[in-house]
Amino acid sequence: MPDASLVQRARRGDAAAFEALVRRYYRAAYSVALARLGTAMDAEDVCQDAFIRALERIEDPDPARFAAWLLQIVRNRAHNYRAYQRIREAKPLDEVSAAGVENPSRDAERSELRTALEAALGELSEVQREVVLLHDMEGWKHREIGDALGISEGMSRQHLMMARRALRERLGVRAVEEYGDE
Amino acid sequence: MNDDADRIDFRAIDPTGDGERFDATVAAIMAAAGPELADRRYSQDALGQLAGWWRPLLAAAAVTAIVAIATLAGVDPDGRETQSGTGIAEALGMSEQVATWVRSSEGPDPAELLLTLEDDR
Repeated sequence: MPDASLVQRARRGDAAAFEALVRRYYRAAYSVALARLGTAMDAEDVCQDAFIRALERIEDPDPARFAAWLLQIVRNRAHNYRAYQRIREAKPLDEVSAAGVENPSRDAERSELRTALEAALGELSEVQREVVLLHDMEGWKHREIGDALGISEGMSRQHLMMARRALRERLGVRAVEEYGDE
Repeated sequence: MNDDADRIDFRAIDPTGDGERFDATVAAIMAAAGPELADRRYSQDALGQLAGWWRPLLAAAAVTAIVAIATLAGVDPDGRETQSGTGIAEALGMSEQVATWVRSSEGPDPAELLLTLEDDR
């Protein structure tokens, strides 16, 4: 179902439509939040907050441009969150993060790479992180990224190229996904 | 550079990679969104009911207005006789004598009242 229909239905309080929007855009929202905040826990907190905020203001956007509007909310919430963290201790982790279903062995397997990835991402500029995460993790096209971030397609390509080069230098062969095997 | 073939492997930090954990995250967002969604459904229902009542209410108001205008068109608001010789009191079915008492601030004396009541019969 197109975004516009889901947005119209969510405006009327349709929970299934709103859940579909959350599932569709959670990873994109998370990519932007992670790019801004640097840690998975903070990114999850901000994503949850951003989706609730988006629902409260869902009359505002052009329904067809929901994604770009949502990501702007994520950026604003991440900005506020970071400012809040500067003046206070980190707030307690959200219940979701703590209560999420954990698989210790799988987490252990991934933890080293996750740590390496987060550290490598930390070396990039904010916009490079946003572009590379939206493109390589979420699978967005440069046109969509440009639209959401307010940059040109060419600039999106440029940021992607720089980000990948920096990540590869940092991560080595672990960074290249073997898509051919999937 | 091939954009798709040269992707960085971000599966280790993909928040949807662990399906159960992602479902729990979505469930938490939906739980937090519950009150807002309920408010929206309630508003929608209330608007729907109002829309359902609005049309017949408007029709009834229109009929009332037409009847009132038609009635008042035949009488002078001050109670003076109009061209057709009818005042509000007469339009309401009062006898001419009673209407005169209504217009004046003085009440009738008992004899006049008796005579008028006799005439009305």
